[in-house]
Amino acid sequence: MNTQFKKGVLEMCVLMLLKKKDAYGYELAEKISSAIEIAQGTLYPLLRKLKADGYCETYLSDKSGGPPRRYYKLTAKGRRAEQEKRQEWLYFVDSVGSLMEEESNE
Amino acid sequence: MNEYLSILMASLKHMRSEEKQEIVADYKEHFEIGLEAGKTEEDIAAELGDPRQLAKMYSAHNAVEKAHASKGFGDAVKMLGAVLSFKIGGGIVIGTLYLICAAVLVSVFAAAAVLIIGSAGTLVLAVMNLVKPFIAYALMAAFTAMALGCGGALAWKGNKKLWQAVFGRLPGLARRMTNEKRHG
Repeated sequence: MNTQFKKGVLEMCVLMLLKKKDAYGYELAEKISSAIEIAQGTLYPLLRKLKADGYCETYLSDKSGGPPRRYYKLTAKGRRAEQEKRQEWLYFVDSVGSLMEEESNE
Repeated sequence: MNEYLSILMASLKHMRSEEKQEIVADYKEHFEIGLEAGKTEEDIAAELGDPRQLAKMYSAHNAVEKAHASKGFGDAVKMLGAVLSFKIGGGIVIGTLYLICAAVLVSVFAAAAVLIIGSAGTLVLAVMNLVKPFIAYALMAAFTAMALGCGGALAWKGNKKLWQAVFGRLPGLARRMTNEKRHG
């Protein structure tokens, strides 16, 4: 798949997963790469950017056992961004879908 | 793991060392959790991807951020370098145009500097001539010094404005090139 395309989708996936629950980097990487083929390492620059832009915060916790892990948590700004991106995505998928419909009807 | 982390550390450019350590710590944590889950170091490294490529993502993003804070000469050049090395190919044409602009502006700066230095030199000549009985030369030299100085200062100032006009737009362009659209 096109890498630029993936990159945009990756951001939405991270926001969407973090909206469900706080998560640490490894957890997010495993979850996303089970669905989309990406280099897992590209997740960390994205997380850092999301934090710098105020979409999420981090805290250390050992709640899943073992050594403390850095958890990411969405901020109010992050939740708004998630909502926006979700709508953009649904609209996009819908538009492509209707184009495909048109084509198959011809 | 250590080899991976040290390549990553060495490839991170244009940022404070605390920041580099924070970034490397993220990957160290990733390795440790992966090992705990029963993966091999090789598998984890392969899944993460090339550390040099990852470092470029950080460097490009970081340099763009920094240039937002200050539009200084050094940062603009660093950013241009980082962005070009990240996106060598697509942005090469725009990058080259900017490099040419930068070269022209730098040479005008140099010319302005020469004018200013020249005026200082002529001023010295004027003072030296005052001691000797060549008042006419002294006056001539003094006028030349003033003219050169004014010309130099004007050229410098105008060029600085031009520089800001050209490179003030660079962060936006760079962001578009790296496709890192900011929201809010």
